[in-house]
Amino acid sequence: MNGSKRKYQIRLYQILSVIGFICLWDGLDRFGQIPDIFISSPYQALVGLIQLIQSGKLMSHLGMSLVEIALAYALALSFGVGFGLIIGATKYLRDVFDPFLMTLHAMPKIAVFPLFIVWFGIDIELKVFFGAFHGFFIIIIMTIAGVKNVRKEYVEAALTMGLAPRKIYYRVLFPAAIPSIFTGLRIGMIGTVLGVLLAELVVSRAGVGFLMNELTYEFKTGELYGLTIVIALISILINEILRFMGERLDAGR
Amino acid sequence: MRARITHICIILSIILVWEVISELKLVNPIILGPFSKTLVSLWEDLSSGIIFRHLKVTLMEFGIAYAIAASFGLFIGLFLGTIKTLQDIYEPILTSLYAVPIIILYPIILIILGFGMASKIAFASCIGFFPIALNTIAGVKSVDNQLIMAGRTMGAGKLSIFFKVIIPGALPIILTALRLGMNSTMIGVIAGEIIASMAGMGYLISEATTTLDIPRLYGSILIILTVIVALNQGASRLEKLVEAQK
Repeated sequence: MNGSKRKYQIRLYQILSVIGFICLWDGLDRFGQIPDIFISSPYQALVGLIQLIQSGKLMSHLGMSLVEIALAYALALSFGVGFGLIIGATKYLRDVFDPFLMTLHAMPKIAVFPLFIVWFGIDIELKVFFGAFHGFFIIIIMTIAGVKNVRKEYVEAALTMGLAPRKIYYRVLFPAAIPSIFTGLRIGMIGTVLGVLLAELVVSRAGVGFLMNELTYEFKTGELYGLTIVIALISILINEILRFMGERLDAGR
Repeated sequence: MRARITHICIILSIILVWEVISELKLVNPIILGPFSKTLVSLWEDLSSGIIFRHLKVTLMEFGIAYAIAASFGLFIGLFLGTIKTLQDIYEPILTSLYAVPIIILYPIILIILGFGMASKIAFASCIGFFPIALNTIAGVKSVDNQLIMAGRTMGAGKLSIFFKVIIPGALPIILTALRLGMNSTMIGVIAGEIIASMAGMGYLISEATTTLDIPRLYGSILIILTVIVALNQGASRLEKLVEAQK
């Protein structure tokens, strides 16, 4: 009883903090004497957002970005989990690939973005491949880690009980590694979204990143703020859904 | 050992394949210049000082941004980590915000701060802040509760528990937090420079792309990667050193 009351209190304070932040933002705009092209008030952001929706720009660019994210994520997921299972199951392959994967994961992938431009042009392929490139490494690393930590007894037991060795992958290793893989998939999604948006912001002809650039150079600050908030909310929503799924998965085990 | 040998073989064969396919013109020279030409152009850029000039700007932006990110991140992380109620309220908010690609704030920062160094510093410190703060909270949480209890029973005050129990206990994870934040800050600086800037390695890269100066493009990417690998190696050494002290 006391626990659930405390939970509601925490929720309440969280909501109050968000409201407080909006008030602070509004106050800064109202009393800060800052020109409107730099900082818009929450109200102007809302108006800008409604304008974006009414002109149909938001829907068309957002649709484009979501398709790119979905394709990129599908690529990152299938390659990351697929190769992760194969590499993770063999110690020699792990030793060979782990250092490369770790280095590549830590490097700012934006540094090689120009190579992606010269390889893939500036259309949807660029954004899909760059998004997948961003999501891939953490997925494969977490898959390898998950498979590596599967207890040897499971594999031996399965083999003793007559499971064909090639079935080990999807009957034993994959199910046992699921929690780790799922963490990788969630963080990989954050990476993929980041990659697609980066590509759109740097060079593109469509997508929300492109729209943001357009609004920036036209100094449509209100619309820019509105769009930024919408993208932030969508990314939070995607992440929360994946986290909820991960928790359910853990609870079901 | 066998893995070591394979590593060296892989790297050497990548360089060999790179050289051969571009010398034989198997790929369009706009996509891939020969490795030897890349090295020559890199040497010219190094001796003409153009790389050092841009690298200096990038490292300066990185240094300032990292100092801001680390001090705010550590402060907020330790603060929220030690006060349970605030942690319950704000940690979920921080975790959710971490999912937001902070790159979307960059246009707003550009409008406010312009194309110079200030916008890169502001943006990169935002990006670096989150991993540092969140992992510092995790580090404080990882401190064994029994140690804190023991300290309290033996009559240690709140402050001395904080400095003598919590900080040393959380130190390994805090160092990891600082390393992750370092990588994120560097990503922020380079990304900021590539999108809009007037100087820095990111600027050099995007200029080489626009002028299709492929050897210089690959050369400057190699330099950035070397700097990042060096920073990471240094940080990992430090982490291992502290781990060994425990």
